Amino acid sequence: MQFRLRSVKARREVVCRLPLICVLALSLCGCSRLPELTPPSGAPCTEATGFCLRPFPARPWRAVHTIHISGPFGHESSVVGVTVVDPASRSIRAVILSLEGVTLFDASSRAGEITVHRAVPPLDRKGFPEGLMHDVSLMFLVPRGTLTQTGRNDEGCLVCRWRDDPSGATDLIFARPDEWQILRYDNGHTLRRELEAAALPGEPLALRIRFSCRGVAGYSLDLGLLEAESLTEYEALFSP
Amino acid sequence: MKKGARLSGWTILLGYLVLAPPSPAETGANRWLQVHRHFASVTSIRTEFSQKKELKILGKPLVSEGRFFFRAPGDFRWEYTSPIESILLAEGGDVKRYVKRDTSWVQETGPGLEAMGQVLQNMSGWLTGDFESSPHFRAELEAGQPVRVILLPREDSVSSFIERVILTLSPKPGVLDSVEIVESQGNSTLIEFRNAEINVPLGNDLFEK
Repeated sequence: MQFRLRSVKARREVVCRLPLICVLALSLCGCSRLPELTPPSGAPCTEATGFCLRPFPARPWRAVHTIHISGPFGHESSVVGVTVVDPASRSIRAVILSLEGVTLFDASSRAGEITVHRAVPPLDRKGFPEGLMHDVSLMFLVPRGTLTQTGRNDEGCLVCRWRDDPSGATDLIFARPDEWQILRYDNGHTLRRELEAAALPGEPLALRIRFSCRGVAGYSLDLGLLEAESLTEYEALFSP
Repeated sequence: MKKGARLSGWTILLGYLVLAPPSPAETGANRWLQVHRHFASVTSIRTEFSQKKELKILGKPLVSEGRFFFRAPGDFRWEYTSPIESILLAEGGDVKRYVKRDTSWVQETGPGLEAMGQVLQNMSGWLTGDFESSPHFRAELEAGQPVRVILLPREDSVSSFIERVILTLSPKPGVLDSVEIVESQGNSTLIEFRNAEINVPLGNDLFEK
């Protein structure tokens, strides 16, 4: 008799906890939804497609930025970044200099292959080159994947959405024609990277970029453009 | 050595100090002695500088401007005024860096600062004429004018990043004309000093923030 009562009580407790278990399971699996756009199935029109490419110069260029870094564990540092980009081939050369001019890091990315020319500790740690190239690509290259949707978010801002299954999705959000936000979601639709940028009217490159990487070892970068120029001869710049 | 020969040798050394190229008869030790005497009286330095970074992928050198203060034996203020405003301070072995972000000064931390502390330790020696006891570089004195000290890395861990450092001495006693840090071919940093003043009083507030 006593056993039967306990079993009923146990079953009731399991049933009562079931919704909580489901909620916990859902949150643990990181399943999120991308922000809804209006119209919900807005296929990008030609005009919107052109607008969606505004932040990404089409021709090869070189730029120098000041970079203020807020890293994990409260680390703060400043460096100078020199970047050469060929958008057509998605090639990147990225150099990081200390304020005193010492080359701390120098690497090229071509056809998906990264070559490190120089890396001073701790920038020689595993994963750093890949992470850096990923961040530079997100800032300056057309997002990977297909532009699948344009529309407006619930704040009325124009949004361009690229999907590159199974990796994730990228939203480009325009607050104004020369101010934009880029949000990078993983395949679970969890926001992993975000940046805010502002350019002078008509200028191809952003004057200021604030970039954040979320997570336990998160960091943020504040970039200020010092100089930029288009390039006609650039092939050799990707070699050591 | 006979008295006459000593006088003759001293004349040669005096001529070297003024304009004449070093005599083939001068020994390396004597030449180093003159270099040390060049800096012997220095207790403080105040100077401006331009820093030019040459890099293969840059279309033109990246130029920074700044000021530098040194008080023997090891107090340092290395200040950039453009393109980033920053101050690197070393007082009594304690190294701090502050960088201006928008309108605020932010104290910076991280592993790079420790490395800078070691660089400053080397530079303090150079500025007082001590080139030989650097733990990271061995010094060679180059013949000819202007007087140049070539610093070569002692260890592979340093030579993989810096090929050599070239210090060019000013004719003005106690002053460097320039420091060039050569990382590899086509990759170097040239710091040129100007309006240098030595042995001016420098208050403690310059090395504090």
